[in-house]
Amino acid sequence: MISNQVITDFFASGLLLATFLMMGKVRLYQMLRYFALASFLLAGLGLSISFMRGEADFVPAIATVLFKVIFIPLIIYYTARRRPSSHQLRMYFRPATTYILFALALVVSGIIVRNFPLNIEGVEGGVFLFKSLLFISVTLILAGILLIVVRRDLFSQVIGVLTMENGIAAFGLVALGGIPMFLEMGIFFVVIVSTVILAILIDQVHGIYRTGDTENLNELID
Amino acid sequence: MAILIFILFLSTSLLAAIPKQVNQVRLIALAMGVINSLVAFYFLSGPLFSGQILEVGNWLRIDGFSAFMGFLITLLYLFTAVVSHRYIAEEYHEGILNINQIRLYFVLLPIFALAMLTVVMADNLGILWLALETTTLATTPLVAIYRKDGSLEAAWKYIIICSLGISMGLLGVLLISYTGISSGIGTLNSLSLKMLSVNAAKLIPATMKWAFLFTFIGLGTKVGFFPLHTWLPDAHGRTPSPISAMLSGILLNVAFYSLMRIKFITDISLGSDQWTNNFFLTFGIMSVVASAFYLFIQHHYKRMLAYSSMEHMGILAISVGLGPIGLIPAMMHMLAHTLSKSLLFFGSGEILLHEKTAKINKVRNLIRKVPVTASIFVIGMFGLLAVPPFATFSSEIMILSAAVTKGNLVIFFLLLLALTLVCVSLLKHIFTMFNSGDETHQTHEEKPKKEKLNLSHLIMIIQIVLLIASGIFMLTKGGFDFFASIAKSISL
Repeated sequence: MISNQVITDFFASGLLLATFLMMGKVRLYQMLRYFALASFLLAGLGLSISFMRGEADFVPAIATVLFKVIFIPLIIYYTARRRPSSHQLRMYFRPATTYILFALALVVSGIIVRNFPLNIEGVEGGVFLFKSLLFISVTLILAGILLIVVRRDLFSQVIGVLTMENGIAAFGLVALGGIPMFLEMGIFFVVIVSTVILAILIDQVHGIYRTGDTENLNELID
Repeated sequence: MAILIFILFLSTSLLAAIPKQVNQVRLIALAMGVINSLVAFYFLSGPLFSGQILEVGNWLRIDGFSAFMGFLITLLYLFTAVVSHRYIAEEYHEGILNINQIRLYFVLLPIFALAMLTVVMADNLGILWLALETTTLATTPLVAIYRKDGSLEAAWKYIIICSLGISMGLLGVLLISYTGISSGIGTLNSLSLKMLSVNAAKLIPATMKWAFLFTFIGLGTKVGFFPLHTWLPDAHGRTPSPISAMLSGILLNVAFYSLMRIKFITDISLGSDQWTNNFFLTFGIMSVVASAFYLFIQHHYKRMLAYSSMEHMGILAISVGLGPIGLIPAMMHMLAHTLSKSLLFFGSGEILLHEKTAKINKVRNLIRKVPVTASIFVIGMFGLLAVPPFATFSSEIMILSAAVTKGNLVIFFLLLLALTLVCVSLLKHIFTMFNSGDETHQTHEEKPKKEKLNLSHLIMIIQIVLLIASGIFMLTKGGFDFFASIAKSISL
């Protein structure tokens, strides 16, 4: 019988690995698949943590799968399908450099978690699990920021924002044992609406510039 | 009553989406704008003038500070609804906007105002965060509404940078909730501003420092503090002018309000306001000084006003950073900035309609071409530059006095120097736009048409009257006590 702890570890490490692999991808659909996989593992992580707490809360996991694994990738997919030129993503650095920067993000996360003031009383699963999950959530947040900074195409920046949101959701799981339902649903709503707005903007930018390269967005400077 | 406000604002959005004629959309938006504002004024008048606190479950709580902010939001929403009625019609007649874009505009305007009202009425940090994010989502399509290269670039930067910032803010909110839960106040209570304030002394100081740091970076992005401001001049400069007035005049204040609420919980938790005050002072002075330089090199008059907003947020931050002594002038400055900045953006809209360009060096001789707009704009500019008896003069003189009283002479001199540079820069640009003109370009047959007084002018004149009246009121004992009672309600 596999214990809850092992399942949680599996989802947590899988989430980190999927995000790591996503970082260097230069094709949109590949990147999107890894994002969907990371979101699926996040849903699994939330469910396994709820089992560890003896709550078996399926709603956030189902909502995560519906919104982040299905709807959001579909919105991005259909936007990209209209613009074939957007399928090849643009970066300031080579993929190898991006992976190195991700490794640096891991180090920074480690330092942050080490200095993070913990109140472990009442935390299920002990200090190690808590710190590991905190480490993963901080890494995801940094990875999201990294994607926005090192990529110079619109789609990657959207996925960067969504990855950062995954990190915050993971933090909610760690620190609060899950974000309160009204806030969780509100966040999903915000994420979906943001993605739709971003998709429309991407379409309009492509309509004008014929490319999604953010280097073209340089008219407004002082 | 709070529910009625929500229903009214949302109905306005729905109703604006239905008509097929531009005039019908405009009329509905105007009529509903007036009704919504009157209901909201009535609702907020209790907490604002009698000091009572309204609570709706654990979700909404309206004290003096919330009511004051709600009053400013409603006032500006009313002004914007009236000015938009004219401005949007002009842009439609000139073929800049079509019926779909106009519907979108009037659908999103009440949602934007309602989201801001929700931010200031929320007792729950989760609701506050969601409402603040809704302001970004409601205004992004408005920034991109012209669908030109510059507007799309501005909208993209706006939504990406603000989403990034707001996500940091959410992290801060979750950290506050975490420390609340750790202190044993329960999951839902850990998001309640009231419960957090009551139990703030129990919150873990070290965690609260992290929480404040994240919320400061996150919400500071939305406020437009230097160096987190990069989206601000683009978004405010590219939006239809009435929306720029709301973005600059009140949205920045609303984000600042959220930051202040979290500051006061953090202060109680830390047992001192010194730590958070240092953040406000540092970012405040950086924002004022940086904006002074940006203003000097500005070539675009709407961006110029946007940078001036960054400067005023810096002044507000300095005021709050000076401690309790700076809170009363901070409240005054919020009112003064809301009125003066929206006035100038309404005026810039009129100039844009006439000149078809926002570039300073392409606008000349306005005092001759559009004398009504130009005269009101110049008077409004005096209001922004803190000339007595405008409200900005009263608030800024008190902020400077507070800096001296606190013995913070470095801040005093830096602020004074930066304000002088701001003043010189703005006057230089205004002089260029209003007076200088190459007379050889004007032939005898193109005599300027006589400008008539319009709805926007009327609103701007009302704002000037309010700016002067409130400036004088602030210097009276009654006025001082009124703002003192608002400032006091923050810490209760």
